[in-house]
Amino acid sequence: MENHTYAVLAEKLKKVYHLYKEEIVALKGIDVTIKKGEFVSIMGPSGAGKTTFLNLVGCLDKHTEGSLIVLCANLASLNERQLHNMRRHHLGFVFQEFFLIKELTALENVQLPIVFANEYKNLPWAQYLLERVGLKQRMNHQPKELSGGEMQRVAIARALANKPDILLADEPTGNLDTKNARDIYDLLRQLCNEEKITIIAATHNVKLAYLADRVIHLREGNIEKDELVIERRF
Amino acid sequence: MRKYLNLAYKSLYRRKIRSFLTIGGVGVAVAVLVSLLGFNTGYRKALERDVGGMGYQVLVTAKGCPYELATVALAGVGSLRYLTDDTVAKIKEDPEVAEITPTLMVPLIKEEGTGFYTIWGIDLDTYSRLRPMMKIARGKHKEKVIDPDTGNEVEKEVDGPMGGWFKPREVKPDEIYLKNGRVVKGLIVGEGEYEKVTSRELNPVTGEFEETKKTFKTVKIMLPSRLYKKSEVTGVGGILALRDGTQIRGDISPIDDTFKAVTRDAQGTEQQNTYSKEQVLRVEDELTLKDGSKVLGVIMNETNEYYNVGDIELAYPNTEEVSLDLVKTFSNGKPKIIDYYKHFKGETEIVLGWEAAQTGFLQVGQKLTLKVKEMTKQKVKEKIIDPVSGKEKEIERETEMPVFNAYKFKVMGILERSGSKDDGFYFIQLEEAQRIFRRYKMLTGIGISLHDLAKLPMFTDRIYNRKELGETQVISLAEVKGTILNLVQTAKILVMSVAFIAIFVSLIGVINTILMSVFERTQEIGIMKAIGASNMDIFKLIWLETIIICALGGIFGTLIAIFGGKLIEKLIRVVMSKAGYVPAGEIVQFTPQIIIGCFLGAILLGILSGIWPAYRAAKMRPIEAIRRGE
Repeated sequence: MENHTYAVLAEKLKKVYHLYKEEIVALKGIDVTIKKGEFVSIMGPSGAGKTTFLNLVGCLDKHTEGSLIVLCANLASLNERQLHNMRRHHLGFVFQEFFLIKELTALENVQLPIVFANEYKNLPWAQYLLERVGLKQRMNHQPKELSGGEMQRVAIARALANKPDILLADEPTGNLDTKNARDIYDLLRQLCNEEKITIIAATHNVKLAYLADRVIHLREGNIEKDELVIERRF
Repeated sequence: MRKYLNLAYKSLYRRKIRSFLTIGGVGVAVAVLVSLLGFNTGYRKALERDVGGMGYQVLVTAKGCPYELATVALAGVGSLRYLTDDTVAKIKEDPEVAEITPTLMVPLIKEEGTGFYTIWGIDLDTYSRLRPMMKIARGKHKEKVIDPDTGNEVEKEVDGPMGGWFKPREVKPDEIYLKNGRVVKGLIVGEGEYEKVTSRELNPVTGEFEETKKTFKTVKIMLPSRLYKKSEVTGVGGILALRDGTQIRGDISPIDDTFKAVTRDAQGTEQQNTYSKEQVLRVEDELTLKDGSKVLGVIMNETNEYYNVGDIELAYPNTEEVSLDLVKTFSNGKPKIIDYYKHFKGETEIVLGWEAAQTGFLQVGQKLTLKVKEMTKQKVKEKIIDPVSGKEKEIERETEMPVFNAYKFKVMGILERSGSKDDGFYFIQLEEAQRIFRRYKMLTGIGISLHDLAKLPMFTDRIYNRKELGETQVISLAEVKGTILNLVQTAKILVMSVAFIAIFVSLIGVINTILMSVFERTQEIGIMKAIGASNMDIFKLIWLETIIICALGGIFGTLIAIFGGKLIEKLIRVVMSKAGYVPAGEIVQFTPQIIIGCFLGAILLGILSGIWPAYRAAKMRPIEAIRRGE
């Protein structure tokens, strides 16, 4: 198996949280492989381990046991600085609550990762991204002046600012109505097709989950089902 | 840094009120520090200027508390003590004395009760040699002159010196040194002689006593008095000072061995009293002049045109006859008889310090009337109910009574601005000051310059060992400066510690504000990390916010200090003038060093107080930060 064709390679991946002397096993040793350019939905009820999986892949948290290789890097062996470089250059995050910085405009929010990465020459890219997500007219608006769907588009544009290889989306449509949710998924689909970005999106909306190439069902920290979407049902 | 600036600014702007209050806190601490340092520098400079401007190195005063003396030396006010003016001649004998000048300082309370007119009686000849920096100002100015054609007073624009010093007297009062050590000062107005029986022997032939007589030559010395034109005098009254301390104002007339006093109360009812000679301590006449001023003294004689008023201390007798046999020397070499009345007429000539002239809008040639409030002690009888016996009882209480008075002068000259206390003073001839303020033979200080300042301790010892000088105190002005600086230094340490507490409190305030903002923004920090901010990015961002707060606080505080400086100066003046001496000129001075130093200090404060919150923020794990914020 050649590693470089895979975005994520997880073997016996286990994550244990300690909460007031109590052990909570969020992932019970799962094996997952995700190819580059794949659009994967992670399905499952609350507490199934969706977010934990995304956080581990996104280098925001460290796994307890097993191995996790993301973009050819063994995350267990990376130090704080290397992890941060992974986040900065290879990973993009979209959260359920959008998490835009309130006092910055849409454009400034999208520019922020570029600024942190010191790549000022790429600043115009932020404008392109906003155009790309259909917010050309709203660039200089502050988050409070945007609708939920628009905010999530800004968040997606921000996640793409540093041209990541993997886009991680944790319930990206959790706070949106059906119409907007569908639009966001369409956008993700489009990005996956056109920009060849690997997308891993957690959701518990069955309709939306099946817009992806593949759906992984998690339940109580185990993979219940891993199915390829042959024919789009919706 | 540029990339964080926008973020830091926006995050501070988001919490406007909190940021502003924190900036205000830092600002106040910086303002306190800047003002204190400014005051310290300014005060020291002003003091050095005042002391340096004194011209003499040593001051001899009557014995008293050193701080009070220092205060008096530098011209504040205090309870003054006096030396007699024969001390000058005695000190002059010391070989170390290079130059010596007697001074009499008279603080007069202004009529309205706010502040003083400080009048210096000076001996121009010696004073100007000791203090050559006291110069008549020059420049374009207006002068009041008498028009030769019309004889009226007109205002004229003149370019040149603003007047001049007092005109030198044609005749100075003589000093007569007697063999017994006494010095008599006055004007020799005549010669006389008298016979004295020196021996009486029994003539064995005649059986009678034969007397040997000797004729002694004498000089008549008149002690200064003053003439008042009758046309200028609107009323003549009297003051009877009784031995029990009470003063009776009214018409006083001596009848045989008693004094009859007619007094009027507020309603105008007349009351007559008679006092025996034994009850009366002294009698003074009081002349009320046209301009409202009152002259106290004794009318020694009167002509058709003038009252000749002598000073009370000299009134009995106003002339003294001294036998030539007793005289050691005359200050003028030999007795020179002068026509007294010629020389003591007209107004007292006055020279003004620059500020005194400016604040009074005074010009050379103009008449100046100083209206003052003088306090006299009076004993009043009061009826009270005795708490023990329950009976009504009469007690005596001493009270201070204000007496309003006016002194008239003619402005002779205006002095150059010196930047020291001198600017606010009024200078008149020593003898005139002693006469018109009834401080006969009194001095407040004697300024001395020595041949060799290093020999000051020996000089001081010699002065102290000379018992005939009485209770004197020798102060070197270096010591005075030291005493005052010591006091200021002590106060400075105290106030500085307050300033440092203020700075410490504002430091904690800044840390608190930033830490709170860090905790509030936990999630935001987590997000920033998730989208690519490094620990260092977060550290720098938070640190920059702290530094911005402190820098703005620094600017704000410095501005408060500079613009509030005048106010602070006024405050210090009010507070300190109660305590004694305040130097002239700016006592709060801001040098660039102070301002830059305090600004850099504020930034340092930011750098220090920012470290901990910034470290806390940078250390946050992204996932925990995001989760904690939920």
